[in-house]
Amino acid sequence: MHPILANRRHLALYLVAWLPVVALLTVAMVMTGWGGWQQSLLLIFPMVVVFAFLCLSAWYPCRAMPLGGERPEMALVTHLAAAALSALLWVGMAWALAEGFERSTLYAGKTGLTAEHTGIIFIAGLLLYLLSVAIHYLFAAAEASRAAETRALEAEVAARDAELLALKAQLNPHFLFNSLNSVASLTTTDPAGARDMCIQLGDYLRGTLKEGGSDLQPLEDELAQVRRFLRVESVRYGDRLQVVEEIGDECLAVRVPPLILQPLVENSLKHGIAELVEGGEIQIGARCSSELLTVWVENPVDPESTSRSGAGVGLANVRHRLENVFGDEARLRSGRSGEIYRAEVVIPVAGAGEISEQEGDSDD
Amino acid sequence: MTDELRVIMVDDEAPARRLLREYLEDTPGVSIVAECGNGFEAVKAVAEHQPDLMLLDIQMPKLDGFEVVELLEQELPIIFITAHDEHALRAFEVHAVDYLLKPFSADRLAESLERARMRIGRGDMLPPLDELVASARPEGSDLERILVRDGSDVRVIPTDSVDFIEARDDAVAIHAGGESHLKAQRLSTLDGRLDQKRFIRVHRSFILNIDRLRSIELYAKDSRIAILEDGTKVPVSRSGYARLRELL
Repeated sequence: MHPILANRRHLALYLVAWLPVVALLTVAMVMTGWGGWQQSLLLIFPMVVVFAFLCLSAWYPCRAMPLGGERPEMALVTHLAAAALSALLWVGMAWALAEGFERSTLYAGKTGLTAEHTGIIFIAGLLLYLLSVAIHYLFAAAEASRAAETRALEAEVAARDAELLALKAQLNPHFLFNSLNSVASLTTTDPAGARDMCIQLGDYLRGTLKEGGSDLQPLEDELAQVRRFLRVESVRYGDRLQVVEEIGDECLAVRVPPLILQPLVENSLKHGIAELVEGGEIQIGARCSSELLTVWVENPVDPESTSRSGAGVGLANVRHRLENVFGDEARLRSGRSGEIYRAEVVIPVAGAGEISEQEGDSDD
Repeated sequence: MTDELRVIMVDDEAPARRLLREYLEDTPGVSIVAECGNGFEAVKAVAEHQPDLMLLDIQMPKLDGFEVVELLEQELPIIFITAHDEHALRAFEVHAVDYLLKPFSADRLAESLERARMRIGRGDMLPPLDELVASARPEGSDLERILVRDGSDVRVIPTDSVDFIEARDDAVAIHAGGESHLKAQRLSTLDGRLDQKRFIRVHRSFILNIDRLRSIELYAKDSRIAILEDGTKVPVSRSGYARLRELL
């Protein structure tokens, strides 16, 4: 939309700005001896009004060929040609009006335009059109910066939304409300157990809040958080949930992105143990070489359950995190063989972001 | 009200059952006739005990709460229980179904029981359960298994194994791997919930799994028959043929 035509206030201001042009040109016509004040004003005023609107057309080439575009010489030629054409049209209009005056009986004497008058009008037209080009470029620049601002704001809002969603997923409302229900149940039958559960739930939530960032942390920390989660869940599931760990000691210090293991364990409960009447055993493992760390989670699945929807969200989050940190150097594999479901993450041991940068210097 | 309310409670988590039992035992005029830890037990217990009311958790192994509802053979007032399930909650609100959010208080449970008692007294049961169950699922999720009753047992038929489904009076016959299972359901209800890219309503009374289709033969003017991989013949109507052609 045209920035001046679209806004009444802009249009009024723009037209007012042309009044000094009317005055100057009228003075010029009088000084060069074309006619009297009244006669000159009658010629100049309609000409300027028409030209003011004609100059608004400069917006379209300005928008099509923004400043700093690929071919500035094209833009220059286009604008000069448009200016010359507009000035010529203006001269034509002046001639036509002057001719009209001569035919009318209102004015005595000769009112034809001399070469001098024509030159003044042509030069004025040329310059005024180019001025309008400059003004339109200003508008275009203002609009571009506004659009950039809007885009930045929108991006910020989208980022906030994503953060909020992640937070909600992290809080895991289903887990939270069920845990509170377990606490409510334990208060009469097992008050000490209720107290323990409150403490474990607190520890887990504190860990969740701490994990907001994206800094790498030792695998040991991620495992600690997973264990807190499983301790709370084991109250709900009772004997149905068994956990076996197979963690190589040498892996504990390897730095991993936060929340890469937690979603896998949550899935193994939600889609594995929770679907089995008798429950089963979750196996959490880690093994590493000097280059690669492999962590995995295995759980039994109900042979009759047809992979119900919803499993993808947690896995997609993990995949996304891995991509952010390691690019395509990390892998997430998951699948079912028989009655066991296995999800496995393989990441480079010291190949991540800031670590590799620091070590890169000494390697040179 | 002097009648005792006979209640079945269903929840897979022992602590949750303990709490519910504790609340119910303190409520006068209520007796627990069965306590179930999963959906299969619940379906059996309802047939066996003919309770007045069921307190039903939604998230459970094997059969979830809604699948239990689908398999009930009689109308039964139900109070649903859930910790957090956005889709289900929306469905409950729409269909004015009573539900409890974990953790809930004894007072809140008592209120729901009182409401249920009034409903039973008035003889109004539940809104159409088919609709409730369908709207409680996330949109766009296709049915992945069909549950049928086999006496008091429940059979789970993965939709992958279904060859075709046939309407029979008020029921449907689900043909899968040479066996057929009867289920009290309308063909149109089932049609709406199956994967529309694989299960085609080829005839007023038939839904076909197109993965099983071997050929289509012209049988008379405007009527065709589909021949399945195992040689079974299924009639195809003109509009059914149009739907098939659109997909193939």
